[in-house]
Amino acid sequence: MNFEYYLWKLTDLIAGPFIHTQVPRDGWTGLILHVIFMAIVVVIILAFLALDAFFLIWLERKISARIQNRLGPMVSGPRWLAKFSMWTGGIFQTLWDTLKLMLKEDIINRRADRLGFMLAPFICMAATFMAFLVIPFGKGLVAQDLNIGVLYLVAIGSFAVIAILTAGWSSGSKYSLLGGLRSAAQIISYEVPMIFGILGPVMIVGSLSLVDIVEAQKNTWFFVPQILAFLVYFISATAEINRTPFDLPEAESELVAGFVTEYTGMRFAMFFLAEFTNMFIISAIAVSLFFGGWMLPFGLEFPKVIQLGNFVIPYIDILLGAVVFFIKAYFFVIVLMWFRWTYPRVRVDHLLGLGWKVLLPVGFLNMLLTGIWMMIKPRGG
Amino acid sequence: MVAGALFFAWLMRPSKPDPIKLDVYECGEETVGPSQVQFNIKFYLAAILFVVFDVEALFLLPWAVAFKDLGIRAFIEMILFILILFVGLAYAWRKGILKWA
Amino acid sequence: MDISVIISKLAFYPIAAVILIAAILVVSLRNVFYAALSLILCFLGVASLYLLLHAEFLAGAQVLIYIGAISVLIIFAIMFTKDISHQYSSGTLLYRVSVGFVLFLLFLVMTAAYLLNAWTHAAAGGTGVSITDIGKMMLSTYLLPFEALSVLLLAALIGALFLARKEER
Repeated sequence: MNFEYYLWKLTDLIAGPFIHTQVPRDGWTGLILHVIFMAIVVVIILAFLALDAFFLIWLERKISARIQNRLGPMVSGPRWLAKFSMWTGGIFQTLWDTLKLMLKEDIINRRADRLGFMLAPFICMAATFMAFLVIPFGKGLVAQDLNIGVLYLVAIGSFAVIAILTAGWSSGSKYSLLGGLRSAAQIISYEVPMIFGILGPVMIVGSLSLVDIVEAQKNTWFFVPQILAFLVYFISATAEINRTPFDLPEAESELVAGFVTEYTGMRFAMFFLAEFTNMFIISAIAVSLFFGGWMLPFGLEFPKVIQLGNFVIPYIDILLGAVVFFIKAYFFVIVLMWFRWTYPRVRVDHLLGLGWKVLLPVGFLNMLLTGIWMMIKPRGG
Repeated sequence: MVAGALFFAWLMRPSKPDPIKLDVYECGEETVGPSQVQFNIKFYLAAILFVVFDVEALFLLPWAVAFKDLGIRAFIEMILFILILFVGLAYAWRKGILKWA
Repeated sequence: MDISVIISKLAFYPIAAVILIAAILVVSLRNVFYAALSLILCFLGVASLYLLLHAEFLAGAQVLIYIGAISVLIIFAIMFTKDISHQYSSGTLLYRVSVGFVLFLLFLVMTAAYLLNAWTHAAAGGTGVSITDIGKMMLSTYLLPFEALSVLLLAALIGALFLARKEER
């Protein structure tokens, strides 16, 4: 009995701060606890960000290889794993690639504006990093459940545009400038449709907080009534992060590498990291808004504790919820990769048109339908 | 951690600038003219369109949050608000602003 | 005193300093692109002040509209104007004097508004106005200004597009 008690105590001590995000904020103890909690969260998010990007870059190379009937990276990593199957080969590839990038010379070309050139990758990283603050990975597993959650996410995206424009302007190269401009024009053209896509779930739930939106999907995931909104959101979000088929800003055949053309070494690595992390972020948002976040479908629930003989494992529902969340989020990441290696690039003359002429009216239509549906059936949702 | 990585990178990486390396990448060709060149005005027009519709989208959010508590009147009023702005979109569409070339 | 009050009081001064320095940089920097970046920093400072007052929606709006839209438009304009980023011009004397005069008038109006109004002090805990309240008020008490706003935005949009296209030709 004593042992079980101490086990509970220990898990409470370790997991407590993450489960009960609302640490008491009054008094100095509350403040210090809060600061410690936020510091832990920042470290965890940074560690996750790095690991996640490493994994995603490796995954993208493997998926592209599979689609093109190749093996992809196989050499860096334990040889016996590579012998096992193509999916276990080259697992350290990104790690060595990153080390290589770190050791590469940092070139700032003659025509570049040094300050802007150095500032841009940091703005880009900061924007990406800040988005993690409001994503609910599991029940209670959210750094800060802001009441403007969704608005915060959209607003944070503004910094990405600023970073891209700064990079493009300060590189002193025509490719960079044109790439940056195209990229910015694309992002802003798809931002309005994206907000329209988000609007549907917000209307049903009546809150901008991602936690509230996830919890409202206990019985029905919102992609069922909001399939249009989901499509509008997902297509716009793909354009927002410049992924293929919307990778015109980096169209290799026309613009070399767009706004990152002049970047080398670590600075390039920062843009690259942000790009892959953004894929995870938009997938995580899609899961939270339309696919029930950490919840199982049909209102099923995990047991709160698991009893193994005399042992009781607590917080099992939260742990499994987070696993469910990651499975769903990675599913959409894989869908994004699948898109990239399947579809050709959108033509440049369709760049502005698709967002304004197709997605925006469809988003508006969805808003109308949602409104009418809610009027007729006020108890729905 | 990031600072450590950056410091390590700064410590380890070589720095051997030479004039060709510091040149702008243009497939080995000499760059002609200034880097700031005139661009397609379409991007700028799209940005103007975006500013207006971004304001619209911002107003939609509190409306959507309060939607359950608002009646059918507010719904129609919001539709009216959006439709008025869609006149602007229709204008831009008609004038070929959303078309390339 | 409550700890959160102390913190928001302490945080106010550095934020205000950032806003002021950024604002001075906007008007004094010779490089227009840097001036635009300073303006963004200034907007960000203002958004932080809103956060201190627990006006989260306003802070989000500030970042979304002023940084995400207006600053981007400004940077676009800088990029579209040939070599403007390295030029500096402050106009003729008449231009400067008239701008100064308008700014002085604006200053007077704002001072008068500050002195003549009985300000209610929002507590550090915020005003308690939720996003739902904003949405409700927008479509009831302030319905007319709200609908008038759409007409205003429409006029601004068509006007701006018209002018920009005239430049194009």
